[in-house]
Amino acid sequence: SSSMRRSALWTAALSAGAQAWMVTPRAPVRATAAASRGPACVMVDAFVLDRLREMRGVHDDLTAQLEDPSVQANVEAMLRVTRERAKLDGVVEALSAYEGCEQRLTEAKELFNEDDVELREMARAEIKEAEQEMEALDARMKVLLLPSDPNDERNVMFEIRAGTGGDEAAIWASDLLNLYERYAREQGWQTRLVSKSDSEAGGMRDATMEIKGQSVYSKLKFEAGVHRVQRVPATETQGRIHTSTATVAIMPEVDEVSVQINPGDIEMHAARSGGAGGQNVNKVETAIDLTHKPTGIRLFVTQERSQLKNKELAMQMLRAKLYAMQLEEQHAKVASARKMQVGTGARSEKIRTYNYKDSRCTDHRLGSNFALDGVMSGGIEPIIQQCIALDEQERLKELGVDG
Amino acid sequence: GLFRRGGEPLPEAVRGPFEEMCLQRLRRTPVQYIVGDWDFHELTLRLSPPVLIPRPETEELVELVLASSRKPAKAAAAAGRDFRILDVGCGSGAIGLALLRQLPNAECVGLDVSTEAIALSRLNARELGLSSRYEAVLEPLGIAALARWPPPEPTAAAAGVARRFDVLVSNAPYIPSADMLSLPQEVRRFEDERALCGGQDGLDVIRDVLRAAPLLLRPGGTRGIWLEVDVSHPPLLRDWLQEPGARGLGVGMVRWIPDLSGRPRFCELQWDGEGGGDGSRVC
Repeated sequence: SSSMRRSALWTAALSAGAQAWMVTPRAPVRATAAASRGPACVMVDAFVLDRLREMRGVHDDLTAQLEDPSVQANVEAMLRVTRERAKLDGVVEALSAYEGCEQRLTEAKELFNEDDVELREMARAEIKEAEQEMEALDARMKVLLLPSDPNDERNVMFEIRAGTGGDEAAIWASDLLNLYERYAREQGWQTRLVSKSDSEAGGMRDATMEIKGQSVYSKLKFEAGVHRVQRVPATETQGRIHTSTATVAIMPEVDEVSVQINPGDIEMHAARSGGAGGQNVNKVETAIDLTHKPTGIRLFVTQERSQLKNKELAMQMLRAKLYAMQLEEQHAKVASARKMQVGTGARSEKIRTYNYKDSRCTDHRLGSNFALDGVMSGGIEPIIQQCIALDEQERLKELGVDG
Repeated sequence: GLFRRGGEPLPEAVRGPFEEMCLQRLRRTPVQYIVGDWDFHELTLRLSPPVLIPRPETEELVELVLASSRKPAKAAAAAGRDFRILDVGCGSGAIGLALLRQLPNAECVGLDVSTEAIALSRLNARELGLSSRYEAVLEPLGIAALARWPPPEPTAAAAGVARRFDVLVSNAPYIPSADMLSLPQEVRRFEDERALCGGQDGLDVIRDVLRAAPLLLRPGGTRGIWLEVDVSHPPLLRDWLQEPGARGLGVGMVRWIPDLSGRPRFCELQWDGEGGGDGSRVC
């Protein structure tokens, strides 16, 4: 049936992988007046409304599926349908709010044609209110059109590496780590440091932190890239300003199903195992040295209290890195002109400059400045919100919907 | 916590106990005994002297046993049969409990000479919610008591464990006596010598484990034997099993496997289901 076909199409589109999220640009659609719907001034693109109504149709189909006894009997199917349906709840809500406004507007306009002055005043106020609400809904509904990034809900492996610049770069990297730790805590996320290489003069060469919580990736994905600092280093004796960098990589955490690793591609051995081993020694610290031969990725994990846990952690980190590499490849293919690129940190573009003399932090994609003090104490939420907004704008433009 | 906030001074309440722990460590007490517990495989185990602290290699032994036991254990469950594991020299209960955690329908008996070990493995089983499937049995004469049949004095253990097990696993003491003197202090001064020393070539207890195997294993089971050994042992064991005296046991070396440090550490052996009849295990 056509509703089933539509269902399948949209369910497929909605649950497609990262590629669907990076929609290829289409020719812009002109906003058309929807004469059949009454209101003379149309603030919402007919294209947007049509699409959203289709999505509501899918929601209805999924609701019907939940009533189906054969679906009810299958726990997996029930969970899947419930989940897919829940993703569309926002659409249904927004559409019904919009249609409610439309209705009020139509009624108010009819009232406006009455002779009674008082009624006309009421109608005028009602029209104004309804139009304002519809404008707000317009923005919301456009965003609802965007396919969501399937990685948005994932936890991440957050990695910082000090760039060139010796001790100062190492100190900068550790300042950045503190910044993000505070931000994560403020967001109510759990952080766990899984590896860290300290630098002799203070600071660190690199560190990896696992961050778990709600929608972590969706917020941190724009943090990947090079963060540059301009300041007088603590080690500087003559008060000169130095520039150093640190690179942030954001890798969504994936399970064993998402990234297949061939056991033959891995070489793993226990590092720091000089001497007899076995019963002869009491080992408090175990270290796993893991090499993934095809990519050359090498990991050294010593964080956990047991060798097995270090092994599991190493595999988790490897999966995250391999997935991040896959994502990079996919992103590179969809050569998009967007300013807001979700990198995994592989590219070398500077995304932010932190200038201590002028006490400001500049995001180069947004082209805006933020007060440095707030930023360094973990207050980066406003920057992230702006990044999310710019990203939405750009993706809407590609879809052919003006923001 | 300390790792993350390394720069901050210690809160008052914790300072005293922490300094006491540092003093203990200065006396070379193993960290695991100071802290009182440590991670092993997917568990956290309580640990106390002199019971042997599980080594990282032994986690790999557990993984090997698991890999070969998952299917048979499932098949047994499907057929309504038990799947029984014997852990000889159970110590803290590490091996048996780690296996039980991963094999939901298996049962395990842990055997040990040490009363402290029996108490500790029972405690761990209870705290891990595995007591219904784990039994710790004290055998003061050690596995030697079961290496000869009929045993010199009938023991309670002997009656209980005959012909009952699908898999035999053991991290028996395997250090040659000459190496005992050069052990680090943490090991030498705090851990039970009976859990470490295997006699002149380190194989005394292991040989007894293999002599006892035909008595302990079910002829209809997997008849698998898994050992953790000293790096010198695998070829010595293979050769010994082929000598006239030991051949009658019907136990053969299937393969040996290196640990993550690349050292030959684990032996997989198998009993043929027939050898070791009365009398022939005297060797």
